[in-house]
Amino acid sequence: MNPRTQITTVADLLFVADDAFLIALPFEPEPAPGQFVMLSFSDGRTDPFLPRPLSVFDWDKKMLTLLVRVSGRGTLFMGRLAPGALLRVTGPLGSIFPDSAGRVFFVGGGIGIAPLYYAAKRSGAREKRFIIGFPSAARSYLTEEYAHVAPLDLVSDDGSLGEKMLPHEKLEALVAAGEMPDLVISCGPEKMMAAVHGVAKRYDIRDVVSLEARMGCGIGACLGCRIDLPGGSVLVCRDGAVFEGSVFDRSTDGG
Amino acid sequence: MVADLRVTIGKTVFKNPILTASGTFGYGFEFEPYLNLHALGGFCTKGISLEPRAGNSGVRITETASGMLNAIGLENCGAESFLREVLPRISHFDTAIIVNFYANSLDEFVTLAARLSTSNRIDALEMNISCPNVPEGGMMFGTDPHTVERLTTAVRKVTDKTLIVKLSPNVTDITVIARAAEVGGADAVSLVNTFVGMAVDYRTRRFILGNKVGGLSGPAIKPIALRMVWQTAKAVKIPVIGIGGITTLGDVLDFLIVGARAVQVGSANFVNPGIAQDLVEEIEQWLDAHGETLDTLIGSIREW
Repeated sequence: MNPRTQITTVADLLFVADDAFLIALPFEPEPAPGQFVMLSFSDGRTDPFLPRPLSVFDWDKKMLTLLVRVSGRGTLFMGRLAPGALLRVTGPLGSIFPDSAGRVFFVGGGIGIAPLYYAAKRSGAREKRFIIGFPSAARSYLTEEYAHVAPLDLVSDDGSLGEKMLPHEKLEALVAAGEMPDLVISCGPEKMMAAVHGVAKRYDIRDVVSLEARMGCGIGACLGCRIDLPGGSVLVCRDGAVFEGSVFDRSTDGG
Repeated sequence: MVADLRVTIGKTVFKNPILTASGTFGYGFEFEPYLNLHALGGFCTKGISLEPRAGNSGVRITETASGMLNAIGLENCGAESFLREVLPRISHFDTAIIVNFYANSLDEFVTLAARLSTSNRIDALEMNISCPNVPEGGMMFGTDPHTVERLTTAVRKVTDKTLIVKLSPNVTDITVIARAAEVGGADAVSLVNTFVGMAVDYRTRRFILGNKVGGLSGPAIKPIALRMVWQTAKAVKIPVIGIGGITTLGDVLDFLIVGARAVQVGSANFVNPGIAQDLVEEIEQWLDAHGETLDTLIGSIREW
């Protein structure tokens, strides 16, 4: 059996919100923080057809856990799987979050919090902090689990959860108050990551972002996940999905 | 006894009839972590053009029922970079390398074929006259039989390589196009390329793909591809390579019994990057278990 693409079974599946679930799968090798896997049905069905790119939420005792938002037919049907169902996992794939021995802030929005749990858990930073945003308290999930890993600042669009502000605004408030991180790792909507990068750049803090794109293969073959950013065009699966925040800066050569 | 899986197409002896389709297998090396490339009959590279191409912007890929639409737009590194930088990275694979190539005019097709023919490591050329995703109308070359014959004749003159012409299914009668390629001197035809389709979002009232339309592939197209391969295999004497929605051994055998000499696995490479090797092992086992050979299988469909 090739460990880089393998068939595994659903060990456990748990809905943590109306539209988000955790799915646990026996899986090796050990992924690195920031990496993702391609997950597809392996029970003979051809619909849904393509694998889905999903970032690693956790990996512990040879068990891979993914946090999945139901956002289409593929994830809808995945959420209905029972323990024992067959899935194909290809990976771990993609680039890795950097780490720092100093102070690291993990900034997430919505389902973008998925890779930050494992990243924070595995980080060797002296001080770690989550800044996490959801639309509302009713649409939030796993906040207690995150709070077990590192101190957690919650923000929401409507103020029903934590402070009523956006994640990058919270980041800026902390930095302005003298809480200067050595590294910012962010994942969430593209606008959020661009705004987080804006703050990091203003204060001369290194930041990395984890981008999302529709993918066909995840291994650089189909070229389906090329996206145009101010800093240029990137193939998300091959060049990322972790990028320096500077991908949101307009490239200086005019390209 | 281990079945003899070799198939000869033009000047090329393929180890077995399982090839991978252009556009679904990168330049080959991307798949090295997932399978042994030397197990395959061969692989087709991404379509190579004379100059590098950036491809289309916007959304390039979207899933559909049992399949997918793509509108990559033939993004590739260009012929010179391919020969200089890519080919050395794949030359050591003990399998046939089929270079798929695409151009905007007859002259350019000829120039490109001649240039690619200078490499000893390239086993075969697959002429792409059927891409639906380029503005210059790549598909146009492949929909008019006179153009196909003229183009094939011109390219045949400048290459000794095994020449495969990849056909578009977006035509009224694919056998007419196949015969034109045969008359022009093609060693084989491969079919089908993708079907032109599209996807829209009624909520946003927008096209899903940046290119608006794209090429449909995957299991959804298999019945139409199978019918076209069957018709074509009866219409031409040169070998036919079957392509279209192959995901299982059963699909491979279906294409072979209707007359395909070999097959290309396409979109399924995205779902399981190791599938081509799996299929090689499975067909070998199947032939042994059933006491059959490729000869007893190919074209064995009962017409009565």
